[in-house]
Order: sequence, then structure tokens, then C-alpha cells
Amino acid sequence: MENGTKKVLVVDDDPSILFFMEAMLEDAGYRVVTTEKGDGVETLLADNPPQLIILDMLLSGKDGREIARQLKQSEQTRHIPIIMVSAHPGAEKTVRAAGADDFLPKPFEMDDLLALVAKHIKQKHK
Amino acid sequence: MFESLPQQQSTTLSIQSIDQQPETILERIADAIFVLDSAWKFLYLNKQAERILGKNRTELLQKNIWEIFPTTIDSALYPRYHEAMHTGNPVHFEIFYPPLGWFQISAYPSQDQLVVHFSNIDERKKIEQERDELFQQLQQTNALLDTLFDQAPIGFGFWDRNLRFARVNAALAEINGLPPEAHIGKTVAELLPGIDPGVMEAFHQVVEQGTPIINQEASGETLAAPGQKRYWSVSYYPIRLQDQIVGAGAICEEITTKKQVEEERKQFLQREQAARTEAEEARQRLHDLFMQAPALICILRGKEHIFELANPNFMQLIGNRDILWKPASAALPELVEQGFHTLLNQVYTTGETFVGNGIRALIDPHQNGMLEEGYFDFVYQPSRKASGEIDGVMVYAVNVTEQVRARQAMQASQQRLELAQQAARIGTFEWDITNNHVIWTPELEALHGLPPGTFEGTYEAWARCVHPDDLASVETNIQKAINGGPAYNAEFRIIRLDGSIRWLLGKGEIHRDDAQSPVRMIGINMDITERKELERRKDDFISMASHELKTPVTSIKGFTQVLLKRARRSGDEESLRFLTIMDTQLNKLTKLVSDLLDVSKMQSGKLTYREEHFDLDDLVRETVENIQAIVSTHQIQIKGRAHTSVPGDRDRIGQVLINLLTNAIKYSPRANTVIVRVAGDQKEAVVSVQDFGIGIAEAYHDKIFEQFYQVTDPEEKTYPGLGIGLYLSDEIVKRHTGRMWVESTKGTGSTFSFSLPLVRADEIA
Repeated sequence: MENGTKKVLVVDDDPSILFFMEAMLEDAGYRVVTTEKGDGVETLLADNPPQLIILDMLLSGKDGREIARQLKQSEQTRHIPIIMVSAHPGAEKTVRAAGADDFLPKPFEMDDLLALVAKHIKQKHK
Repeated sequence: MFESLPQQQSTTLSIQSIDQQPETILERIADAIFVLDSAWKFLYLNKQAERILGKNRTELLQKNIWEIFPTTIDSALYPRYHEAMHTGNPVHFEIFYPPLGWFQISAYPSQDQLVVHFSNIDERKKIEQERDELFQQLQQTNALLDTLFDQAPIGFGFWDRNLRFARVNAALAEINGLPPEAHIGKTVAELLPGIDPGVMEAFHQVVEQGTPIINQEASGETLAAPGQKRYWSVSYYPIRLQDQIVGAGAICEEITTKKQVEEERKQFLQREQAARTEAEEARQRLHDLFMQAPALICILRGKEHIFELANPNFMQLIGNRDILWKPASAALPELVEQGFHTLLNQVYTTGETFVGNGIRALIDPHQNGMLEEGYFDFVYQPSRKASGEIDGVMVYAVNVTEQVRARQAMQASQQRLELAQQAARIGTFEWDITNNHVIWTPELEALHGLPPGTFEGTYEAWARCVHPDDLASVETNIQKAINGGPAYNAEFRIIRLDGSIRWLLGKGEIHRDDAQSPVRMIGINMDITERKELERRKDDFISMASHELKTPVTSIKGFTQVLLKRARRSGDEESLRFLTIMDTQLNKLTKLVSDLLDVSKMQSGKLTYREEHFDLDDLVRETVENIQAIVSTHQIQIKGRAHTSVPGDRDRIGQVLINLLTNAIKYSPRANTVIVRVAGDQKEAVVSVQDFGIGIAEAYHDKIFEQFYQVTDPEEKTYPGLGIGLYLSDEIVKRHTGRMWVESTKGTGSTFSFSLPLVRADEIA
């Protein structure tokens, strides 16, 4: 574990998406942790929490927004910026209302995602 | 025949000197004279004496009168002669000495002689007697007249030439209120100041002109009843004596009561006249009413039911046939066999009124066999004379043909409607806006899960069935319709008694009265639960589908981008090219999926729009920049500016612009320019996109905006697309209450324009 390397957690129920996200983010110099499951996310955050979470809104069995809400309510995790991703372009309002820091409609340009990640990770360390 | 004393004395003197006077004088005088001596012996008598006594001188001379005429001893002669002789004073007397008659005797005594002068006064006596008799008669007559006069029941009076009361009878005195004596010598004016002056005038006229005045009315008050005005009928007449008017008489009859009676009678007559006039006017009004009445009225008389009167409406109905004074059976023969005549007879004989409602009658107005059907409410009422006897029938009818036909038509259409509703499971409602009563058909009750007849029948009862989340928007929709907006058309949920939820479509029309006030809403409800279910599933499907579609696309895109980056870094030009194309195609795919989703949402009314104000020029510039960045084949020019901010959804309008620009580029492969024009005034902003490509034939100008439409032209078949771009754009612009249109001719290119109002009409509503 390198000091200074930012860790990004990606949560999405589609493994192919997880795969290329991992590739993309690592290419950009981040460390990536992925998971398909929505529940159990908290445990991943317990020790060594990430600097950013990319969360898919529609997860099998769970609503990403609900997870976001919970994370933002918990003392330990509320400081972690969350970018929510969704195929529903109209979901932005509810996503932000649930506490997400930003929203990205699918399908997205890789550059756009990378820009958002950089922005929020940078902010965090301000 | 009376001789005065001086005359007698002169005769006596002449007798005393007999010797001195020739005898012939004595012999000649008409009176009889004889002389007696103191022994009562005739000394002398003249011829007249001889004659009267009936003896001549030789018989009487020197004879004693008492011995010659012994009957005289018992008569008045004896004492009277003795009286004269004794007293020496002459005596004068009359005596009746039968058989000789009446004599007037004067005996003049002297020393020893008595000269007797006597004359027969039979004539005079007779006259006197007649006169006395006459006088007595007169007195009797007078007495009678007096009685009549005094006792007459009417006032009677005589006045002298100066119109002073000469005589007044009791009745008149009573009228005047004064005792009869008080009248004498006074005029009427003096005695009775309360009497009208016409009385005195009448008197004057009568005595001056001498003509009577008969039955003239006089009025006034007398002392008998002060303060009370009385009336008399007075007749005045002049009294003549030897052609001289010496006074006037008058008869006066009190007519006060008669006058009162007459007055009353006059008033009575006036009242009667007024009553008669009123009756006449009433009759006239009735007649006018009759003639102008909208109903059909006629009066039939007699058992033949002769037309005595028919009002204009009736005449018109029967074709203005000549029916007056004809019996009904002859005037309107076509009605006989329909039983109306029998009815008339029945009413006429039994005296019972007949009332018929909606009775059908066939009338032959032109008498050509072409019968016209009509329906009537009518009354046959017997009319009676004052005695109560029936003398005719009055007919009063109202033409209800239209109402009957309307009702029949309505019943027919009602039946059809019911059948249709039953078939389609549509429920109908009628809402009386004025009193909030609502009528439901049984089908509608069934839709609500209510047994027939159990719906309470009020607006509130219906509102309670509506799902609380939907009630507000439904009522808003209803209110808009009431206020003159589009007809009621809403989809909402209802909660049935058993708790189940159904979706209903409600549609209704507002009916207004003459003042344009809403009176009623009539509409239908249709159960669209299945449809809604389907819709929901479709929506869910589409959401799911688009999500599902996007997910692999995201994945592929992601990998493509990763590879792109690596290719860039490694300088692999060929791979870079391939991957760039792949990325572009994936973008197209994404757009198609989005459009599909949009269309689907639009169809279910779920397309969301943001309400904001954005700078149009700014949007145009940005959009053009973005597209120009990836298009090298055409140069996009912007001309003009709107200088305004526009209300609407920026992203959606951007979508429209992108659609038009991509179309312009797509459909003008051989051109190299696309011009975007922007303009704006106070009302709206207009953006147009012009290309110089293949153009669109005029026949297709409307069709191209239709959903899924693609121009079927062999040449165009090469242009990919789903045909929903323009449809969506049109819908978006329409949603902004703007318009979209095209100007184009085949071969010279097209200009697509859209307008956006600066003040949204639907915002005002």
C-alpha cells in the first residue's frame, strides 16, 4: 500500500463494468477496489476506507441511493465522497437528495468520469 | 129698486098736496100709493094700487082696510101701520103677502092720514132669493174648496199680484214650518231665505207672462227642517180675473225621498253600467286571450257540435278549412273515425269532462288524403247555460307532437346507448351542477363495485370514491372544463368498497344554459385498469429495457475508451482509428436508446421537462460548437441573435437543435454549409436550420413530423435512423407551446424552423 495513492471503491452489479472501470481507473493512477454486492459495503469501508466511492444506482436487490443515505449518515463513512452512476438520466435529483456528491448518467465518457473523480478526491483533501 | 129716503120724501110731499098736483102724475107712477084716514078707511088709491090690490076705487074708498083685507090683521101690516100712526114716524118694511107676493111698503103718517107707498118686489125678491141661493151654493162650494184646499196632502197656495201669500194650506204651511197665519202678506223669499231663488223667478215669470210652469224642481231648506236640503216639484199658474192677472197659485209636492231614490237609482245605474263595461272589457280580454293563445281552442255548440268559435292556432292546425258554423263531423271528417266524435258526444250527454294526454290524431289539413300525424294533450269540457243545461263543448288542446317525438327518439337512443354501454362496460353519469346531484347508470355503479341503486347520488359521494392522491388533479381538470376550458378528460384511481383499486378514465361535456352558466355535466367512465396495468408494465419494461440496454453499452464504451487511451499512448494509429469509430457508433446507439425511451415516455405522458429560463443565443452557440467539433464535412454558420431569454427546458430545446443540425448534415452530403438563423421579437423567438441538400417534396412536409415516419425514397433509404427525431423535436416544441415547420423543395435543400413563445400560454391558463 503506497502512501498518497488514492483508493477508489466501485460498486456495480455488472462485472464487465467493474472490469473496465478497474482498468480505466488504474490507468489513471488510482487504486481500485470493486464489489458487485451492495450489502456488505460497510465492512469494506471498516478498515482502510477509500477516498471515493463510485456507486451504481440500480444494484440487484438494493437501491444505490439507500446505500448512499446510510453511508452519509454513518459517522465513519460520511466524509467519503460518493459519485452515483445510473442509466436513468432523470435520477439526478433523487440521487443528490440521497446524499450523493455527484451524478453521472450512463453511458458516460471515460474522461468525464475521470474528471469527476479527480474533482471530488481533490476536494476532499482540501 | 131701492128708493132713497130723499126720493120718498119728495113723493110724500107731492102726495100731501093732492089738490095741487094733477092726478095724472099719481096715476102714472109705477109705485102704488093709497091713503088711509085715521079710521083706516081708504081715502085715495092710485091706479097701480088698484091693480095690485085687485080692487078698484069704488070698492075700496071709504072702506076699512082691515075689513076688506082681513088676512092683513095677522100679518106684519097691522102692527107696522099702527106703529106709524102712533109714533108719527114713517115705517119701511118688506112683507110677503100671499097671494099677491112680496111688497116693499113705506107708510108715511101725517096728522090723520097714512100714506102708504108700496111696490111689488117679487122680482127683486126672486133675484134676492136666487142670489142668496147662489151665494149659499157659492159658500158651500167655497167651503168644499176650502176643505179640499186645506186638507190637500200637497202644498197649495195663492199669492197676490205682488207675490205675497194670500192663502196657504196646511200642507204647505207644514212644509214651510210656519203657521198658516204667519204666511199671509209675506213673499216666499221673505219667509224662507233657504229656498232657492228659482222659486221667486218662477213666480215672477208666471205673473208677468201669464203662462204656467209645470213641475219645476225647487230645492232648499225650510224652517221645518233647518239644515236639511229638500226637494219639491212645484207647478205655478197665473190667476186671472177678467183677463187681468191678479195673482198666482202654486202646487208644491215634496220629492225629497223621490229624489233620493232617483239619486240612488242613478248611482245604481252608473254602477251597473260600469259593471257592464267591465264585463264587456273582461269578455274582450278573454276573447283576445282566446284568439292569441298558443293552445288550440274551439267552442262547439249543440249536439251537432257546431263550430261556434275557433282560435287562430286551431285554424292553422286544420289547414284553415272553412269550419265555422258547420257541425264537427262535416268540418273535420277525418277525425270522426278516430273516435273523437264519439268522445264529443259522450262529453255532451254525460256532462263529464274528458282529459286526454299524448293522444295521437291524424289530420288532413289539405283534404287530399295526406294525413299528418300529431300528438295532443286535450280537454273536452261541457259548457252550460245559466240554467245548468249543457249546450256545447269547449275544446282546449296543446300540440305535444314534438315532445312526444322527442321522447320517442330519446327512448330509442337511450336504448341504443344502454346496449352499447352494456357491451363496452362503460358507465354514464349525469351531474347537475346547480344542486350537486349525480345520477349513475347501473353500469357505472358496477364499475365502482356498488350494487345497483346504492349510489347516494351526490358529487360528494363520488369524490369519496376517488383515490385521495388523484382527487386534486381530477377536480382541477373538472374545474377547467367548467370554466370554459377543454372538456373533462382525466384518468384517476378509485378505491372500491372492498379496498381494490381500479383506474378509471373520466370524460364529460359541460351543458350550459342560455346565460352560458354551467348547468350539467354528462359523461362516461371507463375502466382502464388493464390498460393502466399494461402501461405500467410497458413503462417498467422500457425503464428496464433502457437500463438493460445502457448497461452493456456502458461496458463496451468503457472498454473502448480504455483501449483508445492505450492506443493513443502507444501510437497505434490504426487501432486508434477503429476504436474512435467504435466510440462514435456507441454514442449513436446510446442516443437511439435515449430517443426510444423518450418517445415511450412521451406517449405515456411521462416525459419530464424542466421549467427554467435560458439564454437562447447561448444555447445555440454552445450546441453548434459541440457539433462542429466533431463534424468536419460542413461548416455551421450562425446568423442573427434573439437577444432574449426563453422559458423552457434547456436540455430539451438543445435536443431539438441537435436533431435539426444532425439532420441537416445527414441530408446534405454533397453540400458543405449549414446555416443557423436566430431571431426574436416581443412575442417569440425563432430558430431555423437551413441545409443545401436533397430537400423534401411538399407532399411530405406534414408527414415527416409523424412518429416513425421516414420518407420512402430509394435515395434516402441509405440514411439510418429510426424516424423519431423529428417527431420528438416537434413534440418538445409543441410542449413549449411553440411551432415547428419546414420550408423545402426537392433538390434545393430544406429549412427547418421552430418558434418558442416568450410568454407561455399554458402558464397563463
